[in-house]
Amino acid sequence: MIVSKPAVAGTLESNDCYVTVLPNHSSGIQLVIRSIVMQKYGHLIEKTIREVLEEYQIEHVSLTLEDKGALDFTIKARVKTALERSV
Amino acid sequence: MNGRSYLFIPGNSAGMMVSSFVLDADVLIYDLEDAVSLDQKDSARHLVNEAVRFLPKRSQCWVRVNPLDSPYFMKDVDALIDSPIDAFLLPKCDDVRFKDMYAYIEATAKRKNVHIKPCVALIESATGVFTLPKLIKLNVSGLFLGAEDLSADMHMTRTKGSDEIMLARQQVVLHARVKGIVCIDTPFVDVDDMDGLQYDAIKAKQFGFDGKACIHPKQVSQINQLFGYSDEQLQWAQGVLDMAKKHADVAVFNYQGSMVDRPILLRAQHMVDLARKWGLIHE
Amino acid sequence: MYIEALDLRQLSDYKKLSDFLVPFGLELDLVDGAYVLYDQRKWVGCGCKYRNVLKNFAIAPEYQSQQLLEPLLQHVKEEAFKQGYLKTFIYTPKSNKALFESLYYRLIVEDDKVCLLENGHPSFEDVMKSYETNKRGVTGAIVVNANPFTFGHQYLIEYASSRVAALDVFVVEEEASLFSFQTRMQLVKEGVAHLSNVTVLPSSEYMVSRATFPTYFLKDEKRVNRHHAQLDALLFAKGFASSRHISTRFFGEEPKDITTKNYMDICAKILPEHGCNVVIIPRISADETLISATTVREGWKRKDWALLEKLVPSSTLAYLTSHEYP
Repeated sequence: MIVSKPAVAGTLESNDCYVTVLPNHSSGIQLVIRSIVMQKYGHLIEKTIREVLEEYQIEHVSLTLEDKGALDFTIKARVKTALERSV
Repeated sequence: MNGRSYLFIPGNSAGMMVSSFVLDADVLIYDLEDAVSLDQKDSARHLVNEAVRFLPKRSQCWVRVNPLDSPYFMKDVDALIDSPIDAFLLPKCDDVRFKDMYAYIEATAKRKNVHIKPCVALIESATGVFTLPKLIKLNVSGLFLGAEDLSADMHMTRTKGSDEIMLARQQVVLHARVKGIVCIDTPFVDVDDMDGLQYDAIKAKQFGFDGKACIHPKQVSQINQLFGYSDEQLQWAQGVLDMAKKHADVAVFNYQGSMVDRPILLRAQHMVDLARKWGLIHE
Repeated sequence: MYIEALDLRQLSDYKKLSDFLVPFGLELDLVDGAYVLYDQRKWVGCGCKYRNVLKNFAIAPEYQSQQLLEPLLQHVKEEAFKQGYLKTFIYTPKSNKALFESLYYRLIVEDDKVCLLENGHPSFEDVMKSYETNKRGVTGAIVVNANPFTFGHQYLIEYASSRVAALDVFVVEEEASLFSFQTRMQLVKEGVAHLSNVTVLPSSEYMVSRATFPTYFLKDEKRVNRHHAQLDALLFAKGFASSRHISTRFFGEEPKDITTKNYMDICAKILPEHGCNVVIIPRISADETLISATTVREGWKRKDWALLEKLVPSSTLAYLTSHEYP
């Protein structure tokens, strides 16, 4: 799948996260994750995002995730929604 | 399929989804329809889909999909047909619409090589009530009354006394009993009026409904209590079962001055099973 | 509860919004979008924007505990997003800073009362990084609009470039002028080509832009917001001056335009506090006519080539003679 336009998904309500996806034609996967639990869970959030990117076969994307305590399933859902909106 | 309380959870709210699974509602209905704005239908579908595969199951899980004639119905079914949900709640049903929706759900299940899910019909239109006799000839697993949309369709004025929906209530219960499926009453929409809720729920129970919809977590415990079984009822049921063990060799026996035959025995067993499931009996 | 856009062309709605903001000490200034949060049909909150600057967020006191800022902010931010803005700014009194920071708006600069926050892509850090240079030696800077590039601008730049090892000429990117940014930039480059220590750069939206300094473009000195000017000066000091090691900022003397003069005064106060000198260069005239870009534009309109020859270098003249006044 090719990311071809900017897209957003989610909210900053408690237990949710806000995902912004931007096209980035050849710079690979660039992730920016912002979370108050960055130290403890940042790597898990990143892992979940990368799993979805792999599932969707994305090679080039600039993705920002702002976290308000989202669980795994929420992260997956919001990333998937943003990716599908960016096609 | 039996539950006392049926709590609607807005399908796009991550926060409510997370807190929902610690609530006491017997059935959680993840709503992709009225609780979700058009520009977030895709978002809600993903969230519900991921949530139902991830969250530990404490209660039954249903999903209210979008109506047949919306651009979302088929995508909703495609996404959730192979998920662990217990039923689809199909909105705006009459016999024809239910038939068409069921056909698509059945075809999708077949295509994905999974079991079809039970489908509960939401009766919220004049045609819905009118075609109940035909509807129960189909593969419907439950009848759910939606009085807000029904009253709009019927040009009724919705009141707390609910006289206007009396016929609809009776018809829903009647047809559910004929078919042998559950029937669920419409939610009480004034979430701050707990007395009104009590009155309305008692009435629904009197009419014969098996359970009632909730639109706010704070309605759940009252509904659970009203649609559950009282201690006296449970004592009676347990007594019947104990007596039945003693009279295992006979088909009919006497208990507390009344005749107990097989149908009554089954009912007692059913009550005890449900009570156990609802945590009313502790062993 | 639900959020709906307000049609500000409806006078009654405009007034209602204005009145709603009064108890919060907020004024309805430049706004191109206004959104109201309703409970049933009652107004309980609002949020506005001008381009990609979000502002005038207010929630009725009895609803403030309900964390309603988030859905309001989200809504306005997404309206800006739909209009193509990948980054949004928030101007807010310092008392609200923590509230917006918890919604992932990051502080860029703040003065005594007001702070500027941003969210989105590319970030202030990213943009300033793109301006970074390894140059050593004394670096100066001058910001020009150059609408179009005149002998006046050339003089200022020659003056400045002779006093520093390297001179950065920032051309205002904001499209608020007769000549497009592309054209202005081109004419500046042509007009300074003979100066080997000059680099011509775009200003970005962090310098005198409609986003970060909207009142500058109103040309109404009473409405120039002192805080906008202060924050613009701070942005220069903390961003550009830092990335490009600028130790002196040059300004052309401004006798007429009060807006520009006020802005210069504020820079003159703030920049030295951050290690950047301010030098004001007196203007030159030609045949008693003060060289101003306004005079040039008027002359171009009249096709007064004799006058223009005295006011602009040949590179600019070539452009003017070969293009029609729009």
